Amino acid sequence: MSNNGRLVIEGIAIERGGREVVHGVDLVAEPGAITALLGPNGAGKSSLVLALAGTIKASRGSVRLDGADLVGKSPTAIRTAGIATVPEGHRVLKDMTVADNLRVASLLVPRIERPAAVDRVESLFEELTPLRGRLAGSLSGGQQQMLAIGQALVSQPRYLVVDEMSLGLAPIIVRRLVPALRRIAAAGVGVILIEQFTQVALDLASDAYAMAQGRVVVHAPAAELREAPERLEQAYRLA
Amino acid sequence: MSAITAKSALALATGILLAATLSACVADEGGGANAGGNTSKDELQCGLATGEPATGDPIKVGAIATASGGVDFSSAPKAAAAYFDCVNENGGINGRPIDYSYQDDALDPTKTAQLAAGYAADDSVVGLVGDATFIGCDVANAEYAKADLYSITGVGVPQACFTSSNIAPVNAGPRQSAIQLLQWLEQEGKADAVFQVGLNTQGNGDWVAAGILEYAEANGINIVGTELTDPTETNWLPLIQKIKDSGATSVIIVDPGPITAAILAAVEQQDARGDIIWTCTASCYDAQFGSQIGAYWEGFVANSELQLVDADGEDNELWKSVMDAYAAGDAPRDTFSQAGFLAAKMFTTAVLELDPENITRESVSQAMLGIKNAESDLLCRPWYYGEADEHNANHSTRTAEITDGVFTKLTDCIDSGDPALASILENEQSLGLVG
Amino acid sequence: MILPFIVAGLVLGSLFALSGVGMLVLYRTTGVLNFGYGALGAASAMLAWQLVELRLQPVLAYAIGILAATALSLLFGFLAGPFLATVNTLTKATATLGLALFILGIMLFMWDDKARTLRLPTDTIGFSIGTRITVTQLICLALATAIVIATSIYLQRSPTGTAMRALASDRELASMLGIRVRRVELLAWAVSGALGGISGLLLSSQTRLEPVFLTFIVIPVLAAVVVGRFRSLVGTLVGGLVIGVVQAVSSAFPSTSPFSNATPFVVATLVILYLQRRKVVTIEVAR
Repeated sequence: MSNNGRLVIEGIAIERGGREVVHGVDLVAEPGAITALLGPNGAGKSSLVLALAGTIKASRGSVRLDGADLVGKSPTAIRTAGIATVPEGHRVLKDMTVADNLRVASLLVPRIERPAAVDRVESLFEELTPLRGRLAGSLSGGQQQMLAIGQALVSQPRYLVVDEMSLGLAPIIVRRLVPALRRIAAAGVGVILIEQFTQVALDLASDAYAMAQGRVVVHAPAAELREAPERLEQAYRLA
Repeated sequence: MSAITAKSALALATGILLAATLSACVADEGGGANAGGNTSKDELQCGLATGEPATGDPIKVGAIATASGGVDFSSAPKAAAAYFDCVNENGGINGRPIDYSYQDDALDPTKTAQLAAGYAADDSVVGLVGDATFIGCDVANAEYAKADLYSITGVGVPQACFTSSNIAPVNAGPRQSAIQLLQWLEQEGKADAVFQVGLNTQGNGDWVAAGILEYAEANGINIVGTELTDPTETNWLPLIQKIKDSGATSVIIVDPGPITAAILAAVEQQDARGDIIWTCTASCYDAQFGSQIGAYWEGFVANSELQLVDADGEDNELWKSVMDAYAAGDAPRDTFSQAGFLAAKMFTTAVLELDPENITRESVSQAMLGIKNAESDLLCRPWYYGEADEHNANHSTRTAEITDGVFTKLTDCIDSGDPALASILENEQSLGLVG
Repeated sequence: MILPFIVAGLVLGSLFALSGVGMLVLYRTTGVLNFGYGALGAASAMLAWQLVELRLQPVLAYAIGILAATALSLLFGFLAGPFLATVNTLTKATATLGLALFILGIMLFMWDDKARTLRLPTDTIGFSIGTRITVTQLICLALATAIVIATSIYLQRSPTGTAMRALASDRELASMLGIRVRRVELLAWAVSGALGGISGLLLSSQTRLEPVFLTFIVIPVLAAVVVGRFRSLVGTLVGGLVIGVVQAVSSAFPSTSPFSNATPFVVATLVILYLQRRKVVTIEVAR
């Protein structure tokens, strides 16, 4: 049941505050490909991200990678299994230095591999190298987002989940991040890109899902949605 | 974060705590009995000494003691309870057993007042015996006076315990203890320049300090310094400096044992003992004290308000044997314990005179007030109750010094020369309470 | 003749700082301000005293005392940790008052109020430099300073220290980054318990070996942590030393000595006022 290294999400439902906000979502991500997950504010995307990261527990359904069900596992176990999440809002450890931020993320890697893991990330985001000694809280939003993605990559994940990568960032910064994500995917990492604004995500992704009111309302190749963006609007309205 | 997991951490923590608790439990068994008696249980002469258990209608007797809150005086009621148990096994009060229990006021005067009001309101309580309060004699006395209830208190500390109409302590109190140290120094010719150390507590530390000053003034003794500190004080350097600067030849410390030990440790740390005679009131007369302050303090002097715990004598022997037979192994064998025992014994003797069918609060109160000329080798002079607004029958005490880490007898009884005792001494004579 | 007071103040202050560092490590990692910290130290000292009285090798007795404080702290962290993680800082701190009262209750039950001293062989070895200084005092000063520095380095350099700082910085993010939150928290409980045990032993030898007294020593310690603005180890060290020295020196003069015991409050209040003036006071809640 290896599923060819796919990340298979089946029938995930999530309750928050005693109310179900995600009602049985199915999603499949391929290794080496970018999958977009779109949807308006309040669609349940961020809940799904937190459940994928293990920060909150899904009430039913499964998340399978190589046959193992990851629902109910601790964040650490999920990270070790190969799924790394970048939460929204370019969150970093603000009162620690850039170098320490990367070190913290490298603690999951065996001790001797840690320096190499950090170096790899620094070579992907060269801008971070001169900032090593700076407190992460003093970086610009774009630099923080690079650092956040870098933290996720340090543990050499098989899947990278990025929540609202471009939210609140200047277009010039987003243009800098796009090729980096392509390189990451090209290296074999499956990327799930969660975006409220569709443009960037659809440009990058091969496959796209759209959520509204806790359900998947559209699943289509990204290229089709690029051609007919109105399909998304219709789907949101119907839901 | 290599080897520990939450579970193994828990197991380890629990294991260590368990081991620590067990090792401390062993200590409790070994810590107690340091003055074992020589009389076997069935030969003890308690009360009527019939050897027959009393089975009649119980007589209810209570007590209030400070047993928690940082101070533990419960050894007095514990000894009273042991003696009453012994009495109950030996015919009781003409066939009626004494139902004795004490309550803890937790060093809270409000609680003392509540407990006192409770006893006052409970008509079945005929009297109080072996109380040991660090606080609240004044509030308790107010309740007792309204209800015609009397207490033969084991241990009283603040002034109010000695100036109450319905409370009469067996012990001498810190003021007499301190003045008698000064008298001892005077006898030894060491009272040229005396420095006194105590607590700045109202109705207690100030009362004792005033006593020393009053005696010194009346007898031409030079008190070169008086230092009253806060009970939470930790820094003894200013004190040591002042003692040095004062040119004192002797020092009287009127602090609870733990504070005295801390002061002595600081003096040792500064190596400031010098040729000064260091003394302390009865609060540090305790079996453990010598070993705690260490060899540096060989020859340290303390006052004892009752007979030394390891002395011979009929009552002291009975106390030790009763404790061995009827008290828990870890109940302290100290002065407070002697006081509680003696309070219970004098109460028993007085109540045995009554008609067993007519034991009421009224008759018991009369019997207690009527106690006079009660002799015991635990005391220096006879004890009495008597109707008065102040009670301090015990005003003659002994002195001990540390030899090889334990207190040994230094002098026999010294009668207090406290000028404030004048009215009490006058009463003794006019009412024929002693002699 | 102020030298003896400065020396005594430095010694006591360094012990406040040592305790403060232990409190701070726990607070930063778990968000718990442990008011039971003095009680942990008291338990360590009382247990060590008891074992020495039982003729146990003193060094072994001290080690067991420190281990017991570590174990108590760890146990509390293990049992109460999951609950504490879900409540706010004030509730967390209040819960530790329960720990303080629990430990204090056990101590008062096990030990009566008789005089006790924890005597170290180094108490009697001393030398004079205008005032007498014992080797014990030197050890206190050196050990406290060394442990504060070592803890700084540990937090800065070691992987677990880095993980502790990450938790202090952003708990949820740290957990997403794969930090084993529970394990690091338990480690913080253990480390702070051990520091509490060590400082309890030393404090009892320099002040008074009494459960209640040692339990309430948490107050000047807390003041030292306030001076460190709840975040800085160095600030806490400086705060402890300042409080210790000011308290001792002010006791040397008749005009100030009645107020010397108020030093922790005065110093803490001045620091808070000063920081507010500059509007950078962020007694920030570590989530």
